[in-house]
Amino acid sequence: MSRKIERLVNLTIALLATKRYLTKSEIFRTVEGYEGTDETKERMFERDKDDLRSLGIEIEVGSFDPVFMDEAGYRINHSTYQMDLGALSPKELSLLSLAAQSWQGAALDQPAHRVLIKLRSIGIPADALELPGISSRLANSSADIAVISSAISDKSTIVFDYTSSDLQHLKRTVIPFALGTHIGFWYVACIDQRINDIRIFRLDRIVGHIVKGENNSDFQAPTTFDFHSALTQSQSHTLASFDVRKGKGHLLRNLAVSTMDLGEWDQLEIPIVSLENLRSLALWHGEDVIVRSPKELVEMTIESLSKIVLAHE
Amino acid sequence: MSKELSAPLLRTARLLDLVPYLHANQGISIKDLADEFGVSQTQVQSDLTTLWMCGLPGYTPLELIDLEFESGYVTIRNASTLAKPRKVSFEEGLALLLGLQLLQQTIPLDRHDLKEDIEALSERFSNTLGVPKAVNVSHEANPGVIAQLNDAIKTSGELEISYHSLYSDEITIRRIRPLRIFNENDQNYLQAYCYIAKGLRIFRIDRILRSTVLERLESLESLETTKESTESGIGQISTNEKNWDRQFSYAIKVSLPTRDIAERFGIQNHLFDKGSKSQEVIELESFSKAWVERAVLATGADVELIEPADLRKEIYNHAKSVLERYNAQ
Repeated sequence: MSRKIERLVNLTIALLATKRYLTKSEIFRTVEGYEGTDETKERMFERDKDDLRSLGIEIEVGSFDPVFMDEAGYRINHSTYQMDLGALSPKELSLLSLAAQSWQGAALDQPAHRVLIKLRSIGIPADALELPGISSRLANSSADIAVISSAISDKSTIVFDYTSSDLQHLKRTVIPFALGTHIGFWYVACIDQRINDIRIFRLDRIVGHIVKGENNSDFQAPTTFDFHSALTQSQSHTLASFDVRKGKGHLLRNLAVSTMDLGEWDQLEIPIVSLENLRSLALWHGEDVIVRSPKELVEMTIESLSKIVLAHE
Repeated sequence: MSKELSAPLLRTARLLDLVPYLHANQGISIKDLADEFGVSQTQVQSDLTTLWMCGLPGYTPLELIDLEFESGYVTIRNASTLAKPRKVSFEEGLALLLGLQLLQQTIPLDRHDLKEDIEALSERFSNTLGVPKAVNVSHEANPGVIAQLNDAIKTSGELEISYHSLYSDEITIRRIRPLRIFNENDQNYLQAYCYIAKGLRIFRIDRILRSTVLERLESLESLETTKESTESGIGQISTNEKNWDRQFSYAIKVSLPTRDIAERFGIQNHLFDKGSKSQEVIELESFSKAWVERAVLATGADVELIEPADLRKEIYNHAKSVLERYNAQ
C-alpha cells in the first residue's frame, strides 16, 4: 500500500512543481510508480486523480497550446492547493487556534484538530493568550453538521430518517435553512415543501447518514428566524394553571407567564404547548405541584397517578 | 466531504500535512510529532520513511525530500514544493468559524479588544471559507456566566451565583471563589470554594442560573487545607449535591416505549426495537435516587420501577399522597 501512497505524494509534488500542463505520457515517464502496460497505467492514473480530488486537491486539466488541443495536460494550481487565510498576526493566529480547541471532545473535534495542525504549520509564532479553556459539550457527528451547512449554502434538499415520538423511523425530505444549538443540542430548521411549513429537527434524533439531494436555486429562506424563540415561545393562548409550593417547581416557574401569591403556594399560569409535557412536568415535581386547570389535564394527571400507584403496589 | 476516507488516503493526507508542519517546526521530537498528529510513534516513523522516498521527478538525492530522524528529532530539507499548509476544507472552516463563535462567549469581560478581534476574524473568513451565516452555535450555559467564571478564575475573584440543584429542585444562592473549569462525561463543571459550605464544591455550569461579581473577602485560610481532596472523578462530584449517592443499579419495565422514555433514561434504541418484547426488564445505573424517582413519576406509569424495592415503595407512597391531595379537593 505504501507504494500507492508514495505515488500519490509524488504525483502531487510533480503537478504542483510544474509551471505548464504535464501530459499523461510525461507523467508516466517521469513520475515514480507508474508501471505495467499502457492500460494499467491509464487505470492507475484515473484512480489517482479521483483519490487526490477526494482529498480536496483540485487538478486542472488544460493544454499549453490552446490552438492544438491534441493532448490534454494536468497541473495543480498553488492558489487552490495552499491555505489562503491572508496575513495573520500572532494574536489572530492564537485566537484561531483557541477557536479550534473549543471543539475538544465535541462534534467538530476531528476537522478542528486537522485545521489546528495547519495553523501550526504556517510558521509564525502565536501569541500566548491566557484564556481558561471550556470545551463545548455539543456532540453529534461532524459529517452531518458539514453536510447540512453545505446544503444550506447551496440550497439543497436533504434526506434522512428521523425518530418520531413513538420511535418509528420516518424518511424526511426537506430544505434546511438554518443550523443552530439550544441548551446543548443541535437543531436544524427546514422547510417541508409538501406542507410549505417550517419543521425543526434535533440532530441526535436523526438515524444514520444525511444525504444531500437536488438543488433548489429559487428557494427563499425565511428571513427572520431564531432558534431560541422558535423552540421556547409557544403560539398558544390557552393557559394551564398550577399550584406550586414556594421555592419549588423551578422548571415550571421558567415557563410561567403569570404568578400569583397564595401564601405557602404560588399559582402559575403556563401556555399549553402539549398537555402530555405539562402532565409529565407536574408529575416530576411530586408533592410540590398540583394541576388546577384545564379539567382535561387534571384528569390526565389523576389517571396517571392512579396507574403509578397500581403498578407499584 | 461526508465520505469516510480509506486508510491509504488518510495516510496520504497525513504525509502531505506532515511536510509543512515539519518545515515550521524543525527539530521536533518523534514523540511530539506523534502526539500532534494523533498516531503512534511507530506510525510516524513509517510515515517519515515513506516520505523520504518522495520528491520531484528525477528522484536523485538532489530532488528527493531530505529528512533526518535517526536521533529521534526530525528535520526536513528540500521539500519546498509542499512547504505551505494545504487549503482549509469546508468542514475545517466550519470548525474554525463556529469555534470562533464559541470562543466569543467565553472571553472575559475586560477583554473588549479580543471580542472585537474575534468579530473581525469571523467577518473576514465567513466568505473565504464559504460558511453560511445561518449556521450558529452557542454554549449550553447562560451567556455571560462562562465569561464571568473565566474572569474570576484569572483574577482570583469571587462571585455570587444562583445554582439550580435539579434533583432536589432547589435554587440556592452561594458565595464562591471559582478555581477551575473541567470537562467530564460531556459535562462542563466548575470547581470552586463555597463560603456557605466552607469547602470545595463542584457545580455543573449549565445549572448556574446567574452570577454577580463580588468584592473580595480578606483571607482564605481554609482553602489550602482542603485542596488535596480535590482530585476530580465523578465519585468526587457525586458527594457535592446532597441527593447524590454512589452509583447504584435500578431496573425498569417499559409498557409503552417512546422517544421521550428512550432519551430520558438513556436507553439504546435496539433494546426497544422489537416492539412486542418491550415488557422486558431493563437494567440501568444512576447516581441519584431522587432523579430516578422523579423520572419514573414523570412518565406517568409508562415506566414501572422494579428494583430497588425501597425506591419502588417510595414512588408508591409519593404517588399515593399526591393522589389523595387531588381527591380531597
